Amino acid sequence: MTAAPKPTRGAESLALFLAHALQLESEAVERYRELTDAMGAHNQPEVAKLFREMSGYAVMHRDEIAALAAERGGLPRLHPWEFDWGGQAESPEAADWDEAHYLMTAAHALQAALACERSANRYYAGVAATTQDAEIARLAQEFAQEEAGHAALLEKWLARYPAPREGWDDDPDPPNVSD
Amino acid sequence: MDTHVVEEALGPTPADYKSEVKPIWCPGCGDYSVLAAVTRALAVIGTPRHMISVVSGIGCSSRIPAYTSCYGFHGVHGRALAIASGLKLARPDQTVIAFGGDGDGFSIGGNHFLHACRRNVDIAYVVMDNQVYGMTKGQASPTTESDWCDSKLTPEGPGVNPIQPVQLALACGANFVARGFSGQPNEVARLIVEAIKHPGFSVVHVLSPCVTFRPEQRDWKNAVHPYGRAPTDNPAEAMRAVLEDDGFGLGIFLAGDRPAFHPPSRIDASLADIAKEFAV
Repeated sequence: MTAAPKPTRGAESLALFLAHALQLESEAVERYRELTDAMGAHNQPEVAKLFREMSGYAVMHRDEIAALAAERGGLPRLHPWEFDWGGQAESPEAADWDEAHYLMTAAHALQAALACERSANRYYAGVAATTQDAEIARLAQEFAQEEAGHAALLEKWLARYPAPREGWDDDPDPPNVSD
Repeated sequence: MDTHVVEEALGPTPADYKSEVKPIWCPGCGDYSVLAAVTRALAVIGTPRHMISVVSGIGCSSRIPAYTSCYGFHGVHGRALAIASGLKLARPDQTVIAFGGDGDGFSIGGNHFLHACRRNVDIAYVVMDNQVYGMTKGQASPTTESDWCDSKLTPEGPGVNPIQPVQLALACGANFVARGFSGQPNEVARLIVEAIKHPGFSVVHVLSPCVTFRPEQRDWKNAVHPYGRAPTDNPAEAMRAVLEDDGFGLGIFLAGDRPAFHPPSRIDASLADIAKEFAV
């Protein structure tokens, strides 16, 4: 999630750009919902609520892009592995699974979401900077600004939440102690 | 370009293949990503849910049938492949996918694995390998390194060489052998699609970190690399190449051409005829 995406295929045509945008939001929805469920299963209701809210925002963005694509008439049919995220294994807005922890705090959840929004911003900005198509560039800039707006909002939210205390992952009865 | 309206482009979605049951794996576990890969793969193939059977044994990863909306069979420890083989032979119209972990697949179910490879029934087998028994709190498994000392049961390490699943699958005659990494779920989805489509017994070995008992496995994302060779249909060639691999090469090693095992159909036999065969 840290390396700047190097978009290529999504910059080639409007249909490919919208397909990538739709996939980006769809995978974000999927991951946030998975994290919501995981946190719910591990008695982290506050963190689960945050991830649920994030998935709700991603659903709105996904549906907006789907509507936009429908107006344009069609999308290419790509398999999950055919999307080009500039060398990243997953779409830029899908939170990293391996950063999840059963004791993670709301601040951790917001930091994960912030990393996703920044990554999506870099992706769209990269498309805008590299495409030869004026319409793609316009839309990519618009989407990049939206993602930057989300990131700014998350930064404000983060300021409201206490930073994780030292030893936040201390557990007096850890699950990884063998009997 | 093959274009479609948005609704068609969306088609069956991964969510269509997920059940309402929420996974209880540890947050950060690689198995979440494997589940995502499986549902993405099934959405690509588009087979109706009632035509897919998901079979497993026992262990963390073997909980996966409950998390899909297909037919599911959470079986006995180590017996996923026996159940899956019987199911496929009885219902060849079903797409049968077996799941399990390294302990279930290579220790308790090790003998079934050998014979499933050589029998070559048309099944895809996805092994989520975290090199530890996670469900029973962190004992060494058949794929654990000989010098792993973090279990009280083996404080000086298991002291025996780990099984190499890809080499074992090739040696025993599996018709399709591949390796993926859970941190790359879209690539794992591709391997699962290829495994399901390939006739015969297909093995997809997935490196899936256990963040609870093997937190050092988070570094696998820095160790994995493309296998770097085109798939071959020659098992001997595949084996020679795999012997030079460091265990972190990802890709398809073998896409063989052995015909899948199909016993003669008994669809014309009556129940009475079959019952006669059991007469003492």
